[in-house]
Formats: sequence, structure tokens, C-alpha cells
Amino acid sequence: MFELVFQVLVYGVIIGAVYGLATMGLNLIWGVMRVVNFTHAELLTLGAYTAYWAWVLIGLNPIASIPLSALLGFVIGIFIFYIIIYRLLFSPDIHSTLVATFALGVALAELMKVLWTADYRGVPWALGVIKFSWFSIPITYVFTFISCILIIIIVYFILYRTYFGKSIRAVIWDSGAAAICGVNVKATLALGFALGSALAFIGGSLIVIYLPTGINPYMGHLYLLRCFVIAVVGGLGNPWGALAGGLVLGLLEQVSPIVLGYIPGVEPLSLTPFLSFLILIIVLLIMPEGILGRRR
Amino acid sequence: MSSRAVSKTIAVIIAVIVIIAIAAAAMVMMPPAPSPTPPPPPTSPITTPTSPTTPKTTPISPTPTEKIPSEIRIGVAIQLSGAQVVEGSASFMGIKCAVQWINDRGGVNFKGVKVPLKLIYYDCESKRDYAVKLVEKLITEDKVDIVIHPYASTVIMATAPITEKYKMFSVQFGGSSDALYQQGFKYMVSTHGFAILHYWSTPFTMIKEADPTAKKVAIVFKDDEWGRSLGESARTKAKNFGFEIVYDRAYPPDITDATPMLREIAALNPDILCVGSHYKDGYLIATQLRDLRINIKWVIAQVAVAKPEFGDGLGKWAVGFIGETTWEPECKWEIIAAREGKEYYGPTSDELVEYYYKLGGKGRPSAYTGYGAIAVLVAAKCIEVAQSLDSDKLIEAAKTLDFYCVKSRFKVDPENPAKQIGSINPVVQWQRGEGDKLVYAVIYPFEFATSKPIPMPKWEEKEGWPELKP
Repeated sequence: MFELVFQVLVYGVIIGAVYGLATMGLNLIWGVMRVVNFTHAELLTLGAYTAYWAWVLIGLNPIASIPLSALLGFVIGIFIFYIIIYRLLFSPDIHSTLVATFALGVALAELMKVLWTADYRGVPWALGVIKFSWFSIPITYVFTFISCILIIIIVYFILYRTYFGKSIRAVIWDSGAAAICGVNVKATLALGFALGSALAFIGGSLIVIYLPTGINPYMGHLYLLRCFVIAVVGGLGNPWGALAGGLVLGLLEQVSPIVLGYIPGVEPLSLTPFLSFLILIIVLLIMPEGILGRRR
Repeated sequence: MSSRAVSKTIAVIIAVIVIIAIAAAAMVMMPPAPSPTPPPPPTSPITTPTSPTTPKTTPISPTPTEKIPSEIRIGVAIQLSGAQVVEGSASFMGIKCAVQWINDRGGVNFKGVKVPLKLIYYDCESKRDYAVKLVEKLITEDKVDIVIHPYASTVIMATAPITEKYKMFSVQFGGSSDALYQQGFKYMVSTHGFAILHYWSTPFTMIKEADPTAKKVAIVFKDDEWGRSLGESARTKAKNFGFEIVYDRAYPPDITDATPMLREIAALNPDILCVGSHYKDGYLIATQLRDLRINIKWVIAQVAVAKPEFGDGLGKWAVGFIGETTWEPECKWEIIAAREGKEYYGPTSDELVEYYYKLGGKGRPSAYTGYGAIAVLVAAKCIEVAQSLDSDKLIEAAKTLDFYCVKSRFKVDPENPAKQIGSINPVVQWQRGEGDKLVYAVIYPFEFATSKPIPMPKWEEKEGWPELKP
């Protein structure tokens, strides 16, 4: 029993860290500009494809392709911000960015299908396992976790030790006051969106390690729902809330099949998504701001 | 807006809805228009008439007024992209090979004349709703004579009502869910064995002989129609064979992490793991068994194992996985047909492989090539027996057939032609061959088996192996 609990916790933390990282971008964009970025799914997918093509064309493993994913994500994020988001940010209709990001997401998915077909692809990267007497963990999972920690430290450094990070936090807190204090809000918004996009790309590259054949133009939607749950549970607008929410969901996905398995007549794995959204509703009722969200 | 204007708007909307409802009801109640001589189809056909041969036929008296067509149009909506691209494309290759084989012999024998087959096909992109639209298009716009359904039970369950609506004779080759023959379809024949009737029997038979000590079975299956049928079949057959079922669970169709389930299974220490899967989820489970280093003596994974991609992707880690298949190049059903005194119709496996490469096939042809081929062969055989393209005559002809072809035996239940009862599934296993080669071995039926079954080597043992190449 102890071995099972230990394995569940370790796997839950690892996958939770990946989910959290994949959601940080969504949370950051919401925090900075109050935009629900429905393109997040396709940004994750593009990150996965970046890892795939880096593997196929230049032999880079998904971890090594993280800088490339980050750079591509950043550039595409700047592009999306200036072409679409900024034009609609101050629109009288508050739903225009929602609709625009949704439409852009669909367009990106279909473009990926045209470019790369809807065939399922994968990165068969395996380095063996680290084996204990009762437990084994793939080395690739360990690298993934270490990469997540490093990226989170880098994001922390950017947000808390740089002027840009200070301006992002100021805009999250109060964009009007930040402008009065001399913060270039437009540039901050653009860089915030780009950073969020880069994080989504990185999350996609890391998810590839868990999906031996699952890369396809529509894969992002499997994770978008998770990202929304994580963002709300952790605290909308707070990047660290995404990490907290990710850990909660990661552990939930590992623990709930075991717990639900004790209920007769229930298919535990199939019920896990239901449980995730039930938890979301409960959190919204008890703590509408999320675990680390701003108390009002 | 004033309340008067709102009322007017509502009234207009209601009127439009009523008009659409009346029009829809009228369309449903109107009988289908008779099909005239069809115009040329939009897609390129495969027709290469050459010197004819005379296959065995037992013709039924032809309808005097039925004209001999210049070509017999077979319509296919198939997965050439999307989630089921692997299965769909390989099946479509089999369809093309069989069409070419028949046309190279002049075509189908129809009232003393050889009539070539013409293939009209569309890519349904692995989308069920789109497949439904395409099948209807094939019938109503392209005016095909016979429809071959797409791959996969879930899709066929959507397209079969369309062919039934138009009373169109159709063949399904790629659906194994038992739900397919429980719907009362009158004009559809199945060439494929069904999960509950046919699957798991041959692997269990083989394991019983190879390892009488194997007792405990763990069953996992995809939570869709196909997977649930496989789960039920595994459950029933395991009990019939005297195994103890220690785990029996479904997993979501879009599963991305099977580790919680696999860890539970590992704790129960089963001798046999039965995985009722399609390719993506079967491959995921295989990789996660490897990642978790869970050693189980016998692992049978439906669909995934019987694909070249499984071995290509996993390499040495694939050794030991067992799968059921429906056709392999090594299958020589003509041997069994001769032994049983039954007719053998269509190309041999060697001939089918020849056509596969002639039509641009790469690598080893997968089982789905046989899936697609038998669909065309059965359609052609029904036409030759019925000597008609009338759906009622074709379905009656199908009920009388009992023959062997590349994909084992074709025989349907005369009371329920959607129920295939003759099919036999060969069993395959990935093995380590001489010279560190990865070998895809046929291990049952024994008449043409290429190797004996082996228990799955431990992951720790495989770690020390060099990389195996096919």
C-alpha cells in the first residue's frame, strides 16, 4: 500500500507540474489583460509539434527543444497580440476577445491539419528507468520534472527580479495605476501575452513526453479543459495559482482512479474528468477566487 | 424593440420553423428516386481490363429487364486522415488491390459479360458525422451500386442507417462490435469477425496449451462500442476457458495516462493482460507498461499489436506482445479451404501482397489490407451469384455463400446477414529473431504458423538487448 501511495504521489506531482506549467500562460494572460485565451489549446499543440519536428528534423529531444519552443511561442504571441488581441482589447463588447481567440484557435487547428494532416504522431524518446525495489520511474519523467522546476524558477526571476516582471505585476494589480506610474501598459500587455504564449508552447513540448502517439491538430482541447479547471482552482490571474492548481489536478488524476475503484459498478478512469469538474464547482462555491487568487 | 415588433419577429420565426418541418417530413416520406445511368464520378477510378479468367459461380436467374452496366460502381467513405488514418488507409489499399485483381481478370461476371469495377471514394477524416454525409452523397449523387462502410464500429453504426434508409446493399469490413448485428440491418453484410463471437478465443486457446499454469486474467478495454464489446467478450471467454478475472475496467477513449490503472493491475499480479483497444491507446498502454516496468507473462493487445507501426515504434520492447489479426501475408487459407472442400475465391495472400506493392504500398502490408480486400471480394461474389445489382437479390445471394478467401472464411447468419459467423482470427506475436531481428510471427493457426508462442520476456531482460530492427 505504501509503495502504491508513494508512486501515485510522485507521478501526480510530476504530471501536476507539467499541467501547472501548461496553465501558467493562460493565467498570466488573464491576469494581465483579462482575456480568456481560447487559443491556448492550439498554442499547446503548436508546442507539441515544435518538439515533434525538432525530433524528426534535427534529432532534438523534447527537453532540448524547450528553448526553441519558447522562442517560437514568444514570437507567435507578439504576432497574435498586435494583429488581433490589442485591436479588440478595448472593444465595447467584452466578448469580442473571447470570440476572436476561439476563432483563431479553430483556424490554427485547421491550418495545422492542412500542413501536417490529422495523422497521430509521437516522439518515441525513452532513456530507460530509475528503479527502486518497489518502484520505477522513467528517466524522461525525471528530466521533465527538473525542467518544470527550472522554468518555474526562471519565470519567478522574470516576474520578481526584472522591471518587466514588476510592470506585469503592476498591470495585473491595477492597470490604470500602473499607467499613472509610468508603466508602458501596451508593451507590458504585449510582452505578457508573448510570455504566456511561450509558456503554452513549453507546456506542449513537455506533454509530448507523456503522449507516445498522441500529437495531432486537435490534441490541445484535451488539455484546455484541464487548464481551465487548474486556472480556476488555483486562482485566475495568478501564475503560481496555476502551479498549485496543476499539482491538485495531477494528484487527483492519479489518486481518484484508485479511490473510485472501490465503488462497485463505477469505471474510475472514466469518472476522473467528472470529479475534476465537480471539484471546480465546489472550489468556485467555497473560494470563488481560487486557492491563491486575490481575496476581494 | 416594441412588443408589437417582438411578436412579429416571433411569428415569422415560428412560420419558418413550421415550413422547414413540413418540407423535412415530405422528404422523408417521399420514396427514393430510381437511379438512372450515372454520369462519370469526380474521383479517378482504378480500371485496367485485361484477359479474363472464369471464377466459380452459381448464378441465379437474371432479371430480364436489368441492363448490363458498363461498370459496377463501388462507393467507399474511408478514413484517409485523422485518428483512424492507419487503419483506414491500409484498408483502402486492400480495397484497391482487390478491385485491381478483379479488373485485371476482366471484371465481375455479369450475365456472361465481364463488367469492371469502378471505385468512388472520399476521405471521411475519421469524423463520424462527415462519414454519414459522404455515404449519403455516394448513394444520392454518385449513384453507386454498392457501398463499403468506413472502418470502425462507431462509424458504421452511424453510416449503416443511411444505407438501410436507401435499401442499398452494403458491406462492412471493419466493425467488430456486436451491436452491429443487433440493429436489424437488412441490407448490410459483415465480413469481419465480431468481438463477442470471435475475439479472444484463439489467443486463450493458445495460452491454455502453451502455459497451463496461467490462471489470472486482467481485462482493460476502451470505453466505446468496440472496446465494450471486446471487454464483454474477454470476460465471457475467460470464464469459459476457466481463467480467474482479477481486474475488469474500462478506460476513457481519449486516455492520456494509463499509469493509475496499470499500477493497480501490477499489484494483482495477473498471468494474462487483455487490452481491448484501438491503436493509439494500445500503444500508450504498451509504452506505459514498459515505463513502469510491469512484467506480465502474456499481454494481448487488440488492434495495436497487429500493426507494423507497433514494432517500428517500440523496437525491442515490442517483443512478447500478442495480438489477434485477420490477415497476414503468411496466411494461406487456400490450404484450409482445400482441406475442408470449400471454394476459395479471390487472390491468394501472395497475390494480394504483389498487388499491394504494385499499387505503391510501402513496408509490410498490415492486416487491414485483408480487411479491405474481402469487402470487395464479397461484393463481387454476391453480384456473380445474384447476377443482379438489385439489393434484395444481392443480400439473398450473400446469405447462401460459404467460401474462403484471403481473410479466412466468409459465412453469414442466413437470418441476420449483418452477423458474420465463419471468420477465424489468426494470432500474431512480436518476437526476437535470429541476428537480432524484430520478427512479426504468426503463431496460430498452426497449419501456417511461422513460430511458436513465447511468454513476454521481462523488461529487465529486454533492457540488456541490442536494438532490434524489423
